[in-house]
Amino acid sequence: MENRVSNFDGLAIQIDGLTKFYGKARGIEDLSLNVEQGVIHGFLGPNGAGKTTTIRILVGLLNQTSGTAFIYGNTPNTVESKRRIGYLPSDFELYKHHTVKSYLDYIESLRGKAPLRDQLCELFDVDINKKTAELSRGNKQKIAIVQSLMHEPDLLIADEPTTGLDPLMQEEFNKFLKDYVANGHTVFFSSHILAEVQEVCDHVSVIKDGTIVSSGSIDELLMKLPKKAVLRISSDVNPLELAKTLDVTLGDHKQGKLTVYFNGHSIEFTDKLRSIPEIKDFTIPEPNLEEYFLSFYRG
Amino acid sequence: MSTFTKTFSTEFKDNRSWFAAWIIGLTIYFLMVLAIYPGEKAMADLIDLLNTDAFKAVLGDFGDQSPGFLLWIALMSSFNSLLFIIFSSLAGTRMALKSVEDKTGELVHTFPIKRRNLLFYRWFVAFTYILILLILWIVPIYAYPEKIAASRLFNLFWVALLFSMMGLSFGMLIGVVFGTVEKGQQIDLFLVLLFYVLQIIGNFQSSFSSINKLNILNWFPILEILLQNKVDTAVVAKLFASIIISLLLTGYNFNAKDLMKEVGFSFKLPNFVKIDFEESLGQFYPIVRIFVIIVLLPLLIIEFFRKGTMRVLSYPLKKRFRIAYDFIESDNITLSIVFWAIVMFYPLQLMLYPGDSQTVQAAAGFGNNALFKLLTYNHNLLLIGPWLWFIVTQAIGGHWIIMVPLVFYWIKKIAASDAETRTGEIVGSLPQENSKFLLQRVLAAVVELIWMIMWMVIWLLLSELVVDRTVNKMWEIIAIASMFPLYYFLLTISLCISMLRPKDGVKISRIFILLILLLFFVGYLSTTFNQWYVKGLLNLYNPVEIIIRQSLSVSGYGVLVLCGLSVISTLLIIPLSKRFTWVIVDETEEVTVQHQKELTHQDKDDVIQEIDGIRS
Repeated sequence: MENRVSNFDGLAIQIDGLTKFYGKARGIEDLSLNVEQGVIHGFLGPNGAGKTTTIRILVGLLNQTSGTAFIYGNTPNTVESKRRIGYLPSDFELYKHHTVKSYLDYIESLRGKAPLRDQLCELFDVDINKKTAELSRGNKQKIAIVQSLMHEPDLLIADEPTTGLDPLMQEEFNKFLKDYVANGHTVFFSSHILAEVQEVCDHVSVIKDGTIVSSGSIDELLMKLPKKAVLRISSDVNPLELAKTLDVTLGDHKQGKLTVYFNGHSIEFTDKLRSIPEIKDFTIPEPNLEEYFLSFYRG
Repeated sequence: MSTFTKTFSTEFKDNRSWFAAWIIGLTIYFLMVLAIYPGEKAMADLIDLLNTDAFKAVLGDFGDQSPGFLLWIALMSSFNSLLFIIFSSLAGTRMALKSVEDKTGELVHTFPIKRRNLLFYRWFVAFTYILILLILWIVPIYAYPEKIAASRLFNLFWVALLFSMMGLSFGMLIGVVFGTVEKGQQIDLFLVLLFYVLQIIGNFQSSFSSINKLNILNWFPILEILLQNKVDTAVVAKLFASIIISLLLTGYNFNAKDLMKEVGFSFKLPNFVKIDFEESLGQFYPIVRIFVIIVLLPLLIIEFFRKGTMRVLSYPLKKRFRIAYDFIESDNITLSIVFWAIVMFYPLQLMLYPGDSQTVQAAAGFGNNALFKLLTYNHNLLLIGPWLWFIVTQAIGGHWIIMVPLVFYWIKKIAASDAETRTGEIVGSLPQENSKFLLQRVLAAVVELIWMIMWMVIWLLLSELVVDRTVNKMWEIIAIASMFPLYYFLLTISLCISMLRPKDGVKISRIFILLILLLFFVGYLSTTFNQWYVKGLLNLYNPVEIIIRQSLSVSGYGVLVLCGLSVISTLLIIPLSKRFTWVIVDETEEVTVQHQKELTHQDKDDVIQEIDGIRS
């Protein structure tokens, strides 16, 4: 593909109006997104929303139907853009005639020097003498992680990177990503594990039906959410009337515990709650990404 | 629908393309055997030719049977035991392990169906396909104008069925012991080859007759059944016993083995049974030594040379052409199969040259035969010499039998296998141009092609040394080497077609080659359509004329034309490589997306019902 260089203005990824149709079926439509350098950018969405399609276009495995995408100012599917990325796919296979060592040698010979190879193999406890055909799903995932990062790419693009890894390895991987970004690199990854995204990512974009519905830092996104409060109330209290008094949206009501959603500042709302004697106790939990995500998908 | 019916129909559909390919190929062979029947008079000459120890070692002893259709079928079916055992054992290994390899077993084995039953259902699926094949074999023979008694054919049919059932059960056992389809099928092929060599040695040497009784290839005595209308009850008993023992061991092992991929047999002897294996094996050491020296050692030496020559050719590519080097490394099994196919065509046939006069008699019998017209490119080679007729009909003239399937394999591997096996997800993201991948893979195919041609020449020269025909060999070597531009062009033009249509290009390019082959057949077999443009592309390479005229300027400078076309098709690969795809886009993605958007409630209900049906 011809490389159309763009002015990348400190952006690792620039996507504008990207559309991909598979025949008549929609993959993504008019998707726009920017990923800044030096951050971990999470990409969230349910199955079939278009995450993998977007990622495959970015790494040059698919060509878009329309719109533009740039990796450090280079068009995807060019040698220039591919030199700057490492790709960790979600669904892949390794060549079966190799040992792990010869496979990594092969990738290194085509990608260039791999200064992090030994460090990554040690970190993820990779047995390089094993045959690739004999590896379990989790061990294959480790090889995929090593090959995607060993050449120290400027940008790691990862599609559900911790699939198949045990919690210890997931933790190691997330820790590695944080250090990696601290050294000036960028990570763009999709995941279903929302707690992991909340812990690791600086920015998040949410995709629904092939288009971005929300994007920003985690704090910004959570600020947009209605806040949740769980109230302990007497059995004779009418929840509907209480909700009207408090000006909140009603949630669950189970065994004397009433969940409500409110807008505005927590301190003011807390004062309001204290003034109502029927409320015996209350808690205001920290908002989390899962609630944010589910609020989009459940409407 | 019962569990059996549901599982049977699912497995039957799931495996249909593999079985269909085998059944179609073998049926074409069976029909060709009928089509090339030379008639009673020519058969009389043929019997004289075949009445040598060398041929009897391969075909078996057909006694003093009078010539005719019955003897023709009996002789031509001599190789069927080999074909049936290869087909059925490969099928058995595949059916035992396919669900483990494609991971469908992860779900199916959690259903409340006994693993042993699942294995039996799969065995039954393979059995059904074998039954279809055998019907397609026997019915045309029965329907042929020259009749063979129905009782003889019926006996042949049911013993063939038992024999194939044994192969199937044995293949399943090999599969569950060796854990993967690839490894299991390699062992299947190796064992069949071993039994075949032992059979030939046993037929040559009377001192090895006891080995012959144990050789499973002799448990399908086609000559005896057809010519004497006799079925040996001892053989039938052996077949039954083998089927039952193999199935019991397979069922037990399949049930007991946790990790199917671990090589070995999951079988514990009861504590009270104590066998000193070392001591027991020690008793067999003399036999083992003889076996190693006579059978295994030559095979191992040849295999060593096979691997060694490929290494020597591919090693210079390792640093600068890593993709090409890796491609050749991954082709080890295919190269081994092709190599042994060349061995079957070249030395194993050419070294059995029966002498000039007997060859002339045999050739006279096959004079107007369709297959021999094709192999000799319609030339009367006997006028030049019986040896030339022999090497052309047995080896050089049938180049397309080995090379066309190989080109099919290359096209798929180069153009589609990364997408199909999902290895392209990683490799496709590497910072290399698609054209570099494609051209280096073509380079790998070139090296493999050169290597094959080199072995054809080596085996030809060795055979000629053995039968003392060493004069004036240069044009035979040139004729073999000249196949290079033909197959190179077929490969590169097919790759261009494949890239023009990423979705179905591989299929279209294969149909294109089959059409070229078909036109070539028509051009040589028909007197109405024998024009040069019908014989087409394949006729641009005409090894027979190269040898006869001792010139490359034959078939309208065909070899040069092919060289020119090859250059053009190679240059076309570069711009077309931009259309090369590393992932399957039109199937998986579309399905995923449509699954979300368009799966109707009715579809969902059907899926749920199907799973519930199997579960219950």
